[in-house]
Amino acid sequence: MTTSKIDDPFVPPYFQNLTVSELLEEAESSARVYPRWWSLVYFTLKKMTHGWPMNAFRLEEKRDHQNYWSSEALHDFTSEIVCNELLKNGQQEYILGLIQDAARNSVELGESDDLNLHMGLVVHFLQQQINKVLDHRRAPTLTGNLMSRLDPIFEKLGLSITSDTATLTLTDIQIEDQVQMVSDLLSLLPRFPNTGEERLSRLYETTDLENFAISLAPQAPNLSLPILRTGIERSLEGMCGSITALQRVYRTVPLEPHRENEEEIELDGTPDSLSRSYNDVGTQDDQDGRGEFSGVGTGEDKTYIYSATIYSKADMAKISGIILELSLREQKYLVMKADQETKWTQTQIAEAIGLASRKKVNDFQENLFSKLNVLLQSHQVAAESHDYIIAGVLISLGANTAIEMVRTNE
Amino acid sequence: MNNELVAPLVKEAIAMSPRAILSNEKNIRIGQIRRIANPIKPESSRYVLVLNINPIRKIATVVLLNNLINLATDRDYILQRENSLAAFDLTILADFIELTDYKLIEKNPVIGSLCPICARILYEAKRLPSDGIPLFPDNHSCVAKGSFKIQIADSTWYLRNFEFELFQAICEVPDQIESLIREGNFIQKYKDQEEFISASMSEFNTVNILALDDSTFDLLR
Repeated sequence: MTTSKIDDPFVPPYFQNLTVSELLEEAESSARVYPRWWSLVYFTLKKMTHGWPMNAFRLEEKRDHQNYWSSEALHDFTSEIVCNELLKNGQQEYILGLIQDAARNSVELGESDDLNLHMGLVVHFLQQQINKVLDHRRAPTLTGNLMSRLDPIFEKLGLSITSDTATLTLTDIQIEDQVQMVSDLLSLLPRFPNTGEERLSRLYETTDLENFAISLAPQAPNLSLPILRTGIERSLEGMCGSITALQRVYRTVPLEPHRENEEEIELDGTPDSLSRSYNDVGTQDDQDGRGEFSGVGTGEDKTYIYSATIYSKADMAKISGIILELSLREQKYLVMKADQETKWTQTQIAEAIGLASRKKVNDFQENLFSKLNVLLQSHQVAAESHDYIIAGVLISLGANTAIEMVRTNE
Repeated sequence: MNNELVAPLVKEAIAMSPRAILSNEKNIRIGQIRRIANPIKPESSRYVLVLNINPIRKIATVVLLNNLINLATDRDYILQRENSLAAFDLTILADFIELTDYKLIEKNPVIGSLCPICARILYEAKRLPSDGIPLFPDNHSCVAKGSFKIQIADSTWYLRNFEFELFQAICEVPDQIESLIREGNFIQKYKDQEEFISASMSEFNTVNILALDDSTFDLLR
């Protein structure tokens, strides 16, 4: 059996020379999982969690010089995955059984007698186990806490909310309206200060939540639990998330009217890596009424004030008008495309915006760009100002993009 | 990695680790858990539970299993290893039922079993056009209902869709395989059998109902 280098996208680069034969040999030995299986889990975990916030998994944010999770944290998880899942729960046997079949089938087809071609499957099944453990250790979220507090209130009020949106026969637009309605109602409630770090502390008084539930009652027939959850999440976080999307949290920052007496915000917080600038603000419509907004950066502990007082009120109206026309999915796509720190693969983008496959991303992009062109025209944006307005859209969406805004209204 | 720290943990886990109990029984029986492996899809094999057999036609009705018991929805059933004698817990994806040929499962060893009564009840319930809910006898606690709340378009949703498509593909009779061609084209062999056709077309509600919703992205998770 060969032990040649495995060229498989599933296989972490660290393990290009580890073979399924070696894994099988080790599984049949008395050591069972050490050192090869252990190392494979360790490095697969390391690769998977790169860039994920550690505090979302009840860990202290501690990373190595390459921004991977600390080896202590990785060891802790590896130990649980290997000892509990692979050994005690028999998952190693499960994986081996399927791999052996795959190899035997290859032989029957005469394609290959090399078991090592199936290394990708081993990693794939290991990733499922890793996901399971990570999911189990995931810290509670503000939305989850709130949902669990709302459950008994709904029960007390006799409100029955379906778990399946499909049974409501709502159009996409109606669903979006319902989500926004939930978000708006929740945003009206007085809220305790909480940045999201204290995940178990309460955000709202119970009496306020009861009022919230009562105000939802007339809409109950048009609500589902996913709609409710998305609406709450939108109010609390601005964007829904998954275990993959934990890499980054995007926050939609609303445009606010300019306050004349307010001191101008300095640009000290502007990112260093500036590559573009927009000086041609003289083309904008309303030079007298200046607007202001700030974009919150997507980094864990940094806030960028991208810009102040460079967009006129008329421009801001156009920007917010365009954003209103964009669906959440389209907004998220723009933010990801604008991200200059992370190179997102088509597959990641497809997953993040809910497309069935990466092949649909290009079509989605084409449609979105056409839509943006139409929107720019409908808002009567001059051709030479398209980039300028789109930059405003990206910044107001909180995109982590290096766009320099030069103030010209001194 | 620190050997001294890791070794005792692993040693203890190994002591508690089950090995798959294999039986190489050739006869296919109701309730057996076997792997299904299709030579035309060499990268894919899955575990299935035999719900019904037709020894004359050599056709078996199988339901898909997987190991992700934490993702078992309320339409699925969890089969604990204590009840199946397998080395691992399994989820019975009760909506994913297919007919397949003996050829695809008989060569693979039996790695566990569900009591034939429960397997039969599950089979009968799923035969009903109204997608009946199986009523297991009170003295049988072989399986337990899952409780995972699946949400539209979350990762579990996509995983189920993927598994469903894969399962259908695996169960297809591989008529182009040389050994089978010698015995005659399998699909042609069964095409004239009304029993087979009616079974495959209407007897089972083999629909991944969770895949039929096309709600918007905004309902993700």
